[in-house]
Amino acid sequence: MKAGSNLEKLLRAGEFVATGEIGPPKSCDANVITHAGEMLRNHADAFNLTDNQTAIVRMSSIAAGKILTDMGIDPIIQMTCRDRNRIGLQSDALGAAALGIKNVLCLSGDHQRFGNHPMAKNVWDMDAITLIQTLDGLRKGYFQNGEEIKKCEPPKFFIGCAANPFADPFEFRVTRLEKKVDAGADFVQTQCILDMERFERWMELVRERGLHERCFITAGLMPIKSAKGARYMQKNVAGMMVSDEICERLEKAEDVKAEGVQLVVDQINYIRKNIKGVAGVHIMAVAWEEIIPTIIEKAGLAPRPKVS
Amino acid sequence: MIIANGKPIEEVLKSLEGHKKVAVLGCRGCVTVCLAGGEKEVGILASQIRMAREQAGQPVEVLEGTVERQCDYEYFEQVKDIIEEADAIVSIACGVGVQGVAETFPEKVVYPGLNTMFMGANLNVGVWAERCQGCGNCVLEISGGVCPVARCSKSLMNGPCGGSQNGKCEISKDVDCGWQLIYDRLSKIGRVDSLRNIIPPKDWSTSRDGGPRKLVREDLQLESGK
Amino acid sequence: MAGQVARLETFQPEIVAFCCENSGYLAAQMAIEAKLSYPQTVTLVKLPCSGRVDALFLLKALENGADGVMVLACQKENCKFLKGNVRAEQRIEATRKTLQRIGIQPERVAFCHLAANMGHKFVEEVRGLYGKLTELGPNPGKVRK
Repeated sequence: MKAGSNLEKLLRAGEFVATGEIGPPKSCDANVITHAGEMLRNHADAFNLTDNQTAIVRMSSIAAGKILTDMGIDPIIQMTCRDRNRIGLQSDALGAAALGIKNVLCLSGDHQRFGNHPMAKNVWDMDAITLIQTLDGLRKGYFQNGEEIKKCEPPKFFIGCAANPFADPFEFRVTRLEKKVDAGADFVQTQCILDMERFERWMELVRERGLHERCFITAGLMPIKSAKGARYMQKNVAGMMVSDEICERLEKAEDVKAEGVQLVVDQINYIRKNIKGVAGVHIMAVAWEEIIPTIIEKAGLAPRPKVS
Repeated sequence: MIIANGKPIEEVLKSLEGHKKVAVLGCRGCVTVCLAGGEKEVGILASQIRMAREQAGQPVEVLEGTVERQCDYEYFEQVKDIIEEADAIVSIACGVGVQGVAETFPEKVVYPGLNTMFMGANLNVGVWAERCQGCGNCVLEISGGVCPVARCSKSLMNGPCGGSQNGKCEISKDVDCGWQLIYDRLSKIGRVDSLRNIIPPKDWSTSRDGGPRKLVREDLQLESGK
Repeated sequence: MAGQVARLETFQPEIVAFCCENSGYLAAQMAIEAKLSYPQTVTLVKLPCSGRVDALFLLKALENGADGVMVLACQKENCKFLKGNVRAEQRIEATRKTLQRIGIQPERVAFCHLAANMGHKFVEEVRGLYGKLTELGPNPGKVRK
């Protein structure tokens, strides 16, 4: 056991996990987090708190994570390398550990060009891979510079990372995941799967390298509310792939929202039945968090298991 | 070379408000080659300033001069007369040259006439692209001759990130993914396996992050310069 | 008021015409030989190709007393140097923008394609610009008056 978070315990117990995502508000309104926490509590095992996602200024993921921790909910705080150098990242990681946060998801971070402060200076002193390595070092008792953490137990982290089977070059995507696992990643959340065929091909390569046995792979899923949205993502969002099949299914649907939910439910069932090596699902219901309980219910993932 | 581009004329004219006699100073180095600050551009800018001020009813005298390189301060000797005569200088060299004027003529007002952009290559007529950031610790030997610092939008050492698709960067379909280029190059030279290794965080102390940089080569220094 | 009218009436726009020696310049010669009448305030500058024209030429002419400038280039697809007339047009467009930004009417810069045997077209273009400049009045940016 690396950190003993709810997520880690369930994964190590062999449970098929379900995680969700909560976007901190563009304000200091803590109620947004407590409200989401109350609504989603017990409907998923842990929740990502995005770190200024798409480079839009929001409440700190660590602060939001602390609010969830206090509510007895397991947070997964995202940390990107866009806004902090190795000094800031390590400092915040230590702070998060001090506040009782255990799961940290390491990301490179979206470029600020499309955010709400495109004139900002970016950092990227490190990248996702070296951030994983740095956090792994911290939990082994060392700072990135090699200095030892003294007079205190090292922080405990359950380290996560992202993997994008839909980005290029395809054949390198598995190698890059392997680098992350080598760096110390314990679990993986994939980019949302909107092209199951490509995901399956990627998983095949993952299994060939045995990576599913070295880390927990959770499949990213996204319920889509509108057919237009799906087409937009298909054409315009870098690093995403949306199959025509999915677009058409939503376009033909009478109740698109219901179809969007059913699509994710079908995906969960398909993955559990057909794709070996997937340890759970990560549901990214962006601006539609309230739908998570319905999906969990319909996919037969309720009630969520308890561990002590 | 250093690539620069002319500042909007409005900005230059705003700087020059109230000045009666100005000197426009060009450079025969990089900015001549990238058609931003050579002798011809001195003529164009000087002409623009004169006409703009004439039509605004505030005529100004504009002197013109161009030196070999504004980054080698001894060349300013050749244009000392016009600089001393003028009450303000517009340097259309890169930022180094503008500061060269300021350092050489401490009592003179100097304004930049260009925006210095990057160190880059001339890809086609009228097209320049960034290739180097002067990080002071070259990594091109491991990246197949494509610089991750200058050509990845995030300067990642272990790319490509999840925003790379169809060879393009997430910031724009007009920007090549630097790491895709690295991957392709290493594939061509049979070294793609080297990307399996984690490249540790870069030592940025040799870059601007370490503070303003200075190079002293004792093998070249003159006694008198010490 | 009366004085102003009088001045406008006597205003004779100065034009500098940059002519490609393979077309514009020959057309001008033809107009002269054919005794076609055109404004006498036009100064012809012979260039080896319209592509030799540069923002600097146009600006210096305007600065040094011209009220308008024109570039006479070969017909499209007919440049002896292949793309000279295309590049000339690009530079003229850029110069017009520059002039506009410093408060000088971009219409003071004219550009046309013509062939060596088009003396009448030369006259037409010159008269056209002359007429426009008469309406615009003197170039407000000229330094040498």
